[in-house]
Amino acid sequence: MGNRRKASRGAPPMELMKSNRETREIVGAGILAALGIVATSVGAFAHVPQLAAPGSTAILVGGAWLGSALARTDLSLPRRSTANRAPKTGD
Amino acid sequence: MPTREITWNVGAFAIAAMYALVVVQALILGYGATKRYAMWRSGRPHGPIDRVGERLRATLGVMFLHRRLIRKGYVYAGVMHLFIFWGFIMLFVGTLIVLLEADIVRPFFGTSFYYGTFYVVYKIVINFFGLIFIIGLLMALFRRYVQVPIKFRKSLSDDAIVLGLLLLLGVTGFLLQALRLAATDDPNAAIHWVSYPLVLALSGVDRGVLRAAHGGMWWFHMLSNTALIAYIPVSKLFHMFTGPANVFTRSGEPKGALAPILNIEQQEHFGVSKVQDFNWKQLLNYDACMRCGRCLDFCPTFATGKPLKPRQLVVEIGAHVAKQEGMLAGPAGPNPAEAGVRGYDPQTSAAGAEDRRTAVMLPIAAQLIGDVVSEDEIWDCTTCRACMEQCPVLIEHVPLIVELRRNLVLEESRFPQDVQLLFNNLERNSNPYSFPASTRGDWAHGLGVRELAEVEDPSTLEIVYWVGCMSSFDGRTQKISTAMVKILQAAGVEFAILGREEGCSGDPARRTGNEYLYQILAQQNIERLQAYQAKRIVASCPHCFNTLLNEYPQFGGTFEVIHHTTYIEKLVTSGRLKVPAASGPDANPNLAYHDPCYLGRYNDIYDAPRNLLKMAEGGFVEMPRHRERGFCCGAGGGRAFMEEKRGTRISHNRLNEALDTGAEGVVAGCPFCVTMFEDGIRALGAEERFQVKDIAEVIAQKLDAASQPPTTPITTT
Repeated sequence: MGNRRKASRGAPPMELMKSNRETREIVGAGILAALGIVATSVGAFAHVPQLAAPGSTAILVGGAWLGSALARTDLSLPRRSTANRAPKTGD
Repeated sequence: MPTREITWNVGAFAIAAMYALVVVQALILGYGATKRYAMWRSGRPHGPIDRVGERLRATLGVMFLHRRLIRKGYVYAGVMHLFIFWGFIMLFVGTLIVLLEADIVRPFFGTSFYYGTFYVVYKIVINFFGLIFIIGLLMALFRRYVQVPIKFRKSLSDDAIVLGLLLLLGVTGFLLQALRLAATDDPNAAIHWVSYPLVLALSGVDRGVLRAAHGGMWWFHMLSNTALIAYIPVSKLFHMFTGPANVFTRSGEPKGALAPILNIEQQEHFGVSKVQDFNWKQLLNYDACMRCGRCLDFCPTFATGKPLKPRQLVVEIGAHVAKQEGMLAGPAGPNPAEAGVRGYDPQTSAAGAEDRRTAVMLPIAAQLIGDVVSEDEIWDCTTCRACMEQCPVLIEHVPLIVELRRNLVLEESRFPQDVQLLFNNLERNSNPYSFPASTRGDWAHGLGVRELAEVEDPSTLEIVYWVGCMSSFDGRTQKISTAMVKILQAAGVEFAILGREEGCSGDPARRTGNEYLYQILAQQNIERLQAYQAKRIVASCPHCFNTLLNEYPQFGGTFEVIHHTTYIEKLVTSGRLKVPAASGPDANPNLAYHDPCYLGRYNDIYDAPRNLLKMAEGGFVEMPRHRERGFCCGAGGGRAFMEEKRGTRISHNRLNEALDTGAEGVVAGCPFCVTMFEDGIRALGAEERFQVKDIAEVIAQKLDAASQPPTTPITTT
């Protein structure tokens, strides 16, 4: 999955659509979390406590969603296959 | 009015930063949880999860009441975990209450509940749970780093980080509270009874200093909290989710039933040899291990220095799965090299890598058997179930071992030479020995025992006596079947045996991985028993008893199966069997009782043999390891037919325990245990002072003694 983005350059339309959907999901989750940070920050600095509750909820949901979306796309996972690598002998 | 200002001494920047930190926490937790969920989902299908309500009740009992954690022998560890668990839960609930007040009730409803009596009770209760949280953590540190039981000789940095972070959180919470109370001269400081002594100690300190210290401590507390939550998905802390999930999805089959390979003729792949062979339940299984080591406490292979260690097996397979699924951590924690996981540890790396960075990269095509789990480990297991009985989250070790054996046997044809001989004998003679099947009933000649084929109307029989291979062919254990015949005849029970028509129940074939042979043997026996319309079967061998009772129904053979200890007890309590009450020189309460694994742990029969011993001998000696915590004799899982080449002998370990009690002998309810112990006492040179008996032999001897005329004592004048 980690190589999906590279592969998607020449991939069939379904792969591209899937890749775009994943990207949109990550961006959406990031925006939700960012909105949450803005809302709670405004709530804290401008003494508007009514913004803190929805803001913190957006932070929690957006953050967890972002983490989940990243996990499903494997964007940040350094996975190196050594399937074809010869064992290192130390010589 | 007792209350406090929420976020006192915390500026708007700190509050905004605190919420920003929540993003990091949620992101890491979401990432880790999704990775692990995806890993379980990648497994093959598993049977449906039925009886949801019952499962939920059991899971809640394990979680909140610690039903599997606080058990005999585990009071310290159970209470320790209970303190940490309830402390953590209540501190979390306490934080939610503050959140509710500050973020919802006050801003949206313009009211408040965080004052007065509620506040006083809340503070007293939260202080209590905060204290037990810290006590629990100190107990854990003491156990792991001061007491250091053998299973904790090698602690990982993960263990220290988890305990350290939790302790940091608890201690900084109380320090924060004390600094605020001292800095604000709170008149209600005493209700914060755990922090109060510190408040008194700080009363002379400058208020500005206290305020500054509070500010610093607040940040420290918040960062510790972030670190802890971020650490959950990559550490054993994740068991707070996987543990309950594993208990909820536990097998609903009887404890003694292994999963059958259905339509075995059509299968092309058998057992487990690579990660892709696991079903999702098995993948969850390995992910739920928190390395508590209870599986080692009564494990015969661990106690006798064999390569198989159930915890290491689960950790290694879990780490292998995690790595192949591209996860950051599995049950070995974030640093599997420390846990000695093969392929990670430079010392044991299959690739012979020089540094850990390279060692981590075990080839992705690594095979489970050989690269991760050695064949010695797979064949060492006695399937005694001690590991599964003790595991707090119901990890299933034995079915895994059998799946690995199935692959070796049915797909690779790789197994010890002794096992080859076992299979040959089972195939040719339908018994594990080289005796012809036609001689199976020879032991009963002259005893007045009928074979079913000779019985005109089998429906008139009360029971079919299932003798088993061991008691049919082995000279020593034939005495058990002979004793059983005496008992049945004394009680006037109408019975018959299958004789030459009886075949091996298939237990040794199934437990050594030869499911194909097992199914043939089982099918033959089921057909014969059904042909004779057998309804009630009494078995002397717990292995046969378990297979007939729990596994034959998988192939349509549903019978009422009773172990001979239970049946004899019923005969006595119903008054059909008159056994003279223990008294005088005939009574010998100095015999130790040994729980056979397939009778006790697999089928929960613990009391019937004990009751018989009390009645016949006036008592018995209880060994330190007994009932659910009993110790295997070393014969199960087909081990009775294999040479014990690695480590010390399991039967000697058990016999030494019996000898240490000062008992004059050991009684079991299993011909395999009797044989293992007979061999053991000869090897230990204790045959002159130590006897081995089956329960049936004990009872039969009492009947013999009662039927003989009393001898007149010789008196001298």
